[in-house]
Amino acid sequence: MKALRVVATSVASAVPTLILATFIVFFLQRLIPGDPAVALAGDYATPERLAEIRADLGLNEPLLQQYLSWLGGALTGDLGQSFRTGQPVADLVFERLPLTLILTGLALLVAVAIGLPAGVLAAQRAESRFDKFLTTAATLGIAIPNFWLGMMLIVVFALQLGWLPGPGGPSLADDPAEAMRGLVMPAVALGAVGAAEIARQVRSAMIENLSADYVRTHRAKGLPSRSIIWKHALKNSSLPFATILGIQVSRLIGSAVVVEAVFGLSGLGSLVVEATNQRDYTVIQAVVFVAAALVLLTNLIVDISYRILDPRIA
Amino acid sequence: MADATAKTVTTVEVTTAKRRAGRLAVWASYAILAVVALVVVLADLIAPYEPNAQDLNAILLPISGDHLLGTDDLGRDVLSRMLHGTRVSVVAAALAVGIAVVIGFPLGVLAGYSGRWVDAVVMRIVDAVMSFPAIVLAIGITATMGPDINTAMTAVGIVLAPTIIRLARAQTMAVKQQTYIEASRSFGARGLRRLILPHVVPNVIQPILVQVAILMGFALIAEASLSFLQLGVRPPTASWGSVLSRSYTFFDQAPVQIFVPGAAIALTVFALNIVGDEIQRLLDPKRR
Repeated sequence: MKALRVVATSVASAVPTLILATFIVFFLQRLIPGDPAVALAGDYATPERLAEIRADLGLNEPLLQQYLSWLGGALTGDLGQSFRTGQPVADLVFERLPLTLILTGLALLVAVAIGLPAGVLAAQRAESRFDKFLTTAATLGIAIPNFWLGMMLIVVFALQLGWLPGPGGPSLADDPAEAMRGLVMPAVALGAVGAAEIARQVRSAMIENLSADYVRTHRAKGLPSRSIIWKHALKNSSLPFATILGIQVSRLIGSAVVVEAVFGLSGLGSLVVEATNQRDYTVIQAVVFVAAALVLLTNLIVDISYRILDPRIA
Repeated sequence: MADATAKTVTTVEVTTAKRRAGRLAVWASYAILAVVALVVVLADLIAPYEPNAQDLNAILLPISGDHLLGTDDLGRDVLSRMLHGTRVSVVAAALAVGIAVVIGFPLGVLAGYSGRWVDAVVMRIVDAVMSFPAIVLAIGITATMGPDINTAMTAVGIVLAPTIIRLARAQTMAVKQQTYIEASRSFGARGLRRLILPHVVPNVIQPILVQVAILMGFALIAEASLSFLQLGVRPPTASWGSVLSRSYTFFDQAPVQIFVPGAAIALTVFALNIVGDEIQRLLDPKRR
């Protein structure tokens, strides 16, 4: 019952943010310069066609009603229709979503697999040469644009060494194994910056924990250093770690858009780029909506895990 | 068992160690930023060629004495484009950060100072904007309004504003509790002109400076990302992002050319982050 209450509390506190976020997405359509109907139908559309589009978009109705009917649709999975192909936008988005999710997941894996041990080791040897090297490397890592890192990886590992496939490989549906091989470089490019950020944050959280009284007590009673660091101090750093992971997911989804473009992967990123070139406003809006929904979902999970990890918060 | 005696590191020790270790990086960062600033001012004088001048008899030339960074697929001198692009990129990033501060600072101070419902409303909006991946929302706004560097950087400024709002709010709330504010109030100082502008604002600005350095770095990467996606500067204008984007279309023929713009971005952002940390250290009253 307690778990249920925790989830309910978290969801309830996320609702106002969710409503405001959907309003921002809805408002995007108001940013279309001039008459949205003309923008959608082109300059040579007949007045009848324009009227049809206005009716379709509900442009003649009051703003609040437009918002509510859009929201009703969005929450039930109806994100409107593409103005270029007439396809349901939700279909387009869900066709591309898996690739972006897999890429983001892999990148998160790379980020944690490198960043977490690096941060712990740096904290363990704080102020050593190793720590200084790692801290500087992390600061440099944060500064590198990940889509540029992706290009450099392509030049080295695809063009020069030929170890990994370059851009333009098969899709996940056609040849899963080869497609996954093609995701290695994008995942590393995307995850490297995250690894640098995670390493920095984990390091400072761990340094704080390693100077805490309970660590001294554990040492005094003769607990091995390894167990103190990897079990007790790391467990006590789990709150800041959850926060970092939440922030990373948001960053990774954003950066994935650009990295996908570099590697020619057909995920949400390339969908929004194509939609931009074709002025397919409903698709742009849907991608922004889905990206925000993913972040809000992540934040919700982080919030719930807070309440479970630290009973004082619930 | 060297591990068993691993010593407990105090924050003071770490700070001193970092202080010594970081000097080289700090001086290098100042140097990098000074060079970037010089290039922004002097781009016209030091660029050897017109940045947009095409020479179709000299396309994709390798690095040489005539063209220190080679030429691109339209025969334009890459060095000249990079130098002029520095100005475009830095000005664009400054525009974004300027907008973030202009929106964020007053709202943050207002929220922190007034508290109650004003604070609640502002913070809800901040949460909502922050629930979008920054770059995705910037893309959404720019793609809808039409690709253009000013639109793109305004959008980036809007998505960066919540960071400033949060910081200014937290700082204002801390300042509000200070004794000197209480003293000023007891002398009858109230409102914007007598209390907030002369006493609160100067004490909130300092941490904002640190954040401005870090956000400049973010904005530079955002410019490059948006220009790479054709949402930023329009051809033929050069920016770090557009030079990188262009060179990526022929990278199999001249891989060196994608290196330079990316390295320029990475080094500048690195320098901004280091200098940001340094400002923070200098402003910290506890450092002595």
